[in-house]
Amino acid sequence: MLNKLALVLLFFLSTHAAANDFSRFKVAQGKGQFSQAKHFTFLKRAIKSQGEFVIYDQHVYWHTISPVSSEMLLLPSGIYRRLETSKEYETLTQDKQINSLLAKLLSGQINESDWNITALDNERCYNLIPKLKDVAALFTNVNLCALDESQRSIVLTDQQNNKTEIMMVFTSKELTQNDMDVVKLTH
Amino acid sequence: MTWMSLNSRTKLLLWGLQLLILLAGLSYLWLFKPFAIVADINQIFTVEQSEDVRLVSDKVEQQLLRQHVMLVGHKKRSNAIKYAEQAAFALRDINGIEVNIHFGALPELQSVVKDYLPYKYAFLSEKYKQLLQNKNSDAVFNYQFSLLNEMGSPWVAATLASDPNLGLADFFNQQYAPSMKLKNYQGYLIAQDEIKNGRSDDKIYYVLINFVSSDTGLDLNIAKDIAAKVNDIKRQNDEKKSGVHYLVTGAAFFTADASMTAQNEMTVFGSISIIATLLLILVVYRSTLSIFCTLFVISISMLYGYSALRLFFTEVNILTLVFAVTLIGIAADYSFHALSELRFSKVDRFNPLLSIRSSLLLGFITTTVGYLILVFTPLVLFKQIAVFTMAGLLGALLTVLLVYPSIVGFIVKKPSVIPHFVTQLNNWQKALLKKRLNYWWQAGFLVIAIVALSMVNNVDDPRTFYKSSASLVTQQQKISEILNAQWDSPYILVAGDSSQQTLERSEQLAEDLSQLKQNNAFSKYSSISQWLPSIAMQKKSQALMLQAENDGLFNQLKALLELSETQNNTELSQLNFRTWQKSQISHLFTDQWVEINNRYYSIIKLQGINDPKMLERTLNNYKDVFFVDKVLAVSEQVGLFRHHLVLIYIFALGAAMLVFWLRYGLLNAFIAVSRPAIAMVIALVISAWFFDSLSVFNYVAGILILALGLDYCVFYAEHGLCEKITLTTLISALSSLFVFAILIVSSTPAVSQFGFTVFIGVVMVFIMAPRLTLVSKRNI
Repeated sequence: MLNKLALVLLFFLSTHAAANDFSRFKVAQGKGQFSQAKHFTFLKRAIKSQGEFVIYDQHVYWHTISPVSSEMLLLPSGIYRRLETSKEYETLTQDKQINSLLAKLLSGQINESDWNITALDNERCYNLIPKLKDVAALFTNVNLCALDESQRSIVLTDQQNNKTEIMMVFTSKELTQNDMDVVKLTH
Repeated sequence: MTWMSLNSRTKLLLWGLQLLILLAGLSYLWLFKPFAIVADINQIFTVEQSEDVRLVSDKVEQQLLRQHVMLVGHKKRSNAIKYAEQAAFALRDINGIEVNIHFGALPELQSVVKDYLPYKYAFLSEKYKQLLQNKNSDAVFNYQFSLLNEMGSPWVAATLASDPNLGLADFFNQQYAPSMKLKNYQGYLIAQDEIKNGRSDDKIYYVLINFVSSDTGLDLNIAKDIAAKVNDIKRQNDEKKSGVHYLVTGAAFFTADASMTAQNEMTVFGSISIIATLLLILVVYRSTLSIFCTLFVISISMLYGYSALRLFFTEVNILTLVFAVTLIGIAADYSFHALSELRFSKVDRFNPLLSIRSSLLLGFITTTVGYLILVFTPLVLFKQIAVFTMAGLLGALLTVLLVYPSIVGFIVKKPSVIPHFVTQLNNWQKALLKKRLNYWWQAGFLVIAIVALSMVNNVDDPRTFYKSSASLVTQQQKISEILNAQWDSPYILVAGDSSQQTLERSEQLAEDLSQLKQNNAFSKYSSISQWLPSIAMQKKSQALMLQAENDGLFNQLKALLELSETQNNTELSQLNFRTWQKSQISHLFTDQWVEINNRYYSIIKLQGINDPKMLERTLNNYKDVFFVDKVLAVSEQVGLFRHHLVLIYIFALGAAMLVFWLRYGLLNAFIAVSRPAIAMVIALVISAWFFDSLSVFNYVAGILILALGLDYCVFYAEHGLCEKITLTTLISALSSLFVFAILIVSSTPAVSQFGFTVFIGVVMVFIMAPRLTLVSKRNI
């Protein structure tokens, strides 16, 4: 009897685990600050940077302020970058699979068909392993944690075992017209 | 004794003899001379090109025309693969087809990097080089840091250990890797597409099947085999039941479609015009034999036309055969003239066609002169139409003159009475003749019409002459979108005596190409030189990097990365073309490099071309660089030909005027040639109003109006405005109208435009030709 109960419980737990709840990670819109540290395996020190971001409908504006200013846009059409605000954006990549995946990661839209997912740390964190071979060529592993309502961390590990740690702090979920404009390629 | 004074039996014998010779010749041609019917309308235009451009562009075109693509789509990847395997198996049944469904691994990041790593400092982007040349260490560091800090680029991680200055990572970042949407999965190339139904999760997997035909897809037999097999495959797996759907593209599908449309139209149009013409004959001549005689003349004229095509051409465009239907209308005219003479006149039993002999000959000469001029045009389609029609008319003339005298006994029992409506029409023509406009008014209207014509919008783009099936065009667009292979058909060809010279010449274009891109002449380009700089360029990059190191431009980054300052003592080497050809990435560019006769050609692909003329103008400044744009070249040639047509009109009218002058005097000759000319101008003005523009096919129709018009004029001038001639020209005009009016509904715009203009022209010429009666000595 106990065994059966254990089985039922196990079944319940496993089905519960299969239906991961990513609603806490989802951000339809919001803005805040980020800090990033890239750990290359062969470098002694991490490459650190910080700046601000705006997320609006899976469009991401990523503005590195220090140590060097640069702006990046992750849009459905591609990834774009510029080093000077007065200049136009240049295309970094038009591979839609990669940029939509990055945009989804940053905005917390986790699609279970893209990843093999394991819940960690009492479902505060998730470990994601890409299902698609060519995404795996970029990231072998992604660790996603919601520290609290407004903070989250993302750790991307690539094939060479280099790690990119991103800490995002949301300061507002309300966007001004100006915020909405910065996620456009034309601004 | 002239040949016309021979007796009927000898004439029949002569006719039989020449037919035997024709049949023997045709059999010989059938057995020993290759002959094909092609369906690609672009093939009717021959474009003048220099020898090497022609060689390469032919090779490129041939390769392209042999390639066919099928995408097998399903929501489940495993099902997409299963159905793709089934389709590939079925396609292998077709003779001379090589089917590919399993492909080698696509170049992977690490292997691409591995091919480039041994050539230190050899690869730099233009932006990076510019920064080094400016020698601003802060700007260099900012640029390098932004690369290092990037989230989406895998190149930095892959190259940083070997190239900490990030020049190579930046070089790869700038590249556009072709076919990025295709991913290799267990040896299959698979692309993913989202179904646009609002749910972002719905994806569809497409498995690529590439099949190459031994001959181009323009070959009708190959095209029909392929199209039939694909239809079988689609039928076997119904989309609603299995969820599988197929997308196909390639020359064979367009050829099969064009051929089917042309065949259907030829059958329908040909049948309708023949039935209508035969009914007309039956009503007017009230004799079944007349029908057989006319059918016989039409058949013989077709046989003559076909033999001439086989003699003079090895490839005939299917459009020629559609236009060939018009011969039915013209060849039948000879039969009508003869039948009217035999049926409604008192005939000399020994030489029954004596009285119309000269008018038949004169009509044949003027019509042939009109068509003969088309032979000297640069467009092979018109040459084929002209050869077919002239030979067909010769066959019809010989048959009427040599065979009809033998059947006179069967046709003529006693002269029949001309139908009442013809008498009424004849009276109306006489009344109209009295009310004719004075010459000044006529001249005034003509001038206004010509001025109006000079302001008409002329369309020379060959793509507007035909219409491909909407479904095929949609499938082609969808496949380009899924495979991310939306390159335009025009391209830039760079030639050189060595691979390095070709690469250097391609690099010299880079600045102008980026300027043209900025000016929106096109949106994207792909050149081998982007992935493989010339050795001279690699050496230049290496020198720049060494100089930058000496100048300390990389010190900030080195400090950040905590790398020691090392002196570069290793000898720098460069990647040559042959080694690059063995690299992973080069496999994606095999269709962009051609070697012929020790000359090396690089093909630069273009996307989003907006201003081909600007491209052509800019590239003309370079030696051994050519902008290959068949559409532009053909458009220019068609435009030129349109202008030449005016000269052709003048020559045709001049030649006819000469014939008339000798027979009727100068003023009368002028009146004779001005009728068809006015009819032609009116037909063109009405066509321009109807279609909003004119194409070369409207102008070519003008030649036919002149030919038919002069023919009618000859008969009125020779025989006066008698009821018999009214009857003959009426039947002739009606039979021509049956043919040309039916062409108006053709799905091919070129055929429709041609039919419309001739239709209006024939009506006008029928109304105006009786004016020539005033020239006739027999008069009213």
